[in-house]
Amino acid sequence: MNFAEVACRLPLTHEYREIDMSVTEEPLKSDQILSEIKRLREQAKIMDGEETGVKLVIFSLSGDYYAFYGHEVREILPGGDIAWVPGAPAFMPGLINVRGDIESVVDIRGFLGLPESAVPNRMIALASCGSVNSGVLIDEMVDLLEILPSLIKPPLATLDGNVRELIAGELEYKGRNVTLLDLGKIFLKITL
Amino acid sequence: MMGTASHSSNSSLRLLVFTVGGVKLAADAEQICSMLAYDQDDDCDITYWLHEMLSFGNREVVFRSPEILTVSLQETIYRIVIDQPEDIIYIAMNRIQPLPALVEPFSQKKGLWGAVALDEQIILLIDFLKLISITRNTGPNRFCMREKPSLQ
Repeated sequence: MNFAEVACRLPLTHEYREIDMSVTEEPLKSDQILSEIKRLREQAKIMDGEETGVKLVIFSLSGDYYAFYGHEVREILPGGDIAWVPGAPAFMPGLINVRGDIESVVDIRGFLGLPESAVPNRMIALASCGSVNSGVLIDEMVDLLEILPSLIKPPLATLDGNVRELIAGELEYKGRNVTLLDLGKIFLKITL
Repeated sequence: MMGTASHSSNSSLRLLVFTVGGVKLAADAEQICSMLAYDQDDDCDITYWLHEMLSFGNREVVFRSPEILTVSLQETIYRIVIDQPEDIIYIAMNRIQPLPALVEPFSQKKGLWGAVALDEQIILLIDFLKLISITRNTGPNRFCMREKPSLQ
């Protein structure tokens, strides 16, 4: 629907008194036109790719939903043998062999203030951010989806500061809150 | 127990592969002066137990077939107790991988400097000279164990 079509569909008013906002309950014609124009522009913006979708990998951790940006996740692996490394801290279960490439595995629950996971066979999201690659233990892969960036809201202000700094945003998925994690900041925190 | 090298070349490293507490490790055979049978009555002050040097912490460590490796550093001979020496292998340099970036800061403090993926397994490469230096700096004979781990 273009502007001309919008204008034709709007009811025309010949009586000036009806334009008086104080006497009519209907929205003003100009407001209706402006509103429709804005809606069409938003729609066009999306279609033109001005706001392109972002892919997210949603997974569960200790009963809650979390997400990484899709471009940061190379693949999801079934949890297999993890070789423990002497001297590694508790949040680093060890190393895995991915088709001959040795990758680290980290457990980020502690950074997010989450309790121990009761899930027996956890999965590994093979993630990459900047020059750092690592597997991240997850409980379960939930979904891979593409959404508009505008649907990602800032992190909740009520979150603990240490946790909040690791969060890129919040979004809703099937009626549940999903916390989008900032992988770069998590990796940085691990190396500090 | 000690296998023969499958092949040798200038671009490969000769490694002694062994296990301690379920962790598969390998050391450059050039760093090892000799390998001796472990004798419980012959424990001396410069005998280091590798699992203590590597800080296995609360992990249960059971030695099944302990052996002593002797390593020379600055004219001193150090004895390191390892477990289950398995083989001597040659590994091409290009098969050695640096430890992942997130692990390296921790592993370097334990003399671990690389890894090899071999037959679905991961072998950690350990530098005994570096580990002894680190261990010595933490205090004299800090790791000389009076209470030995359980032996099977």
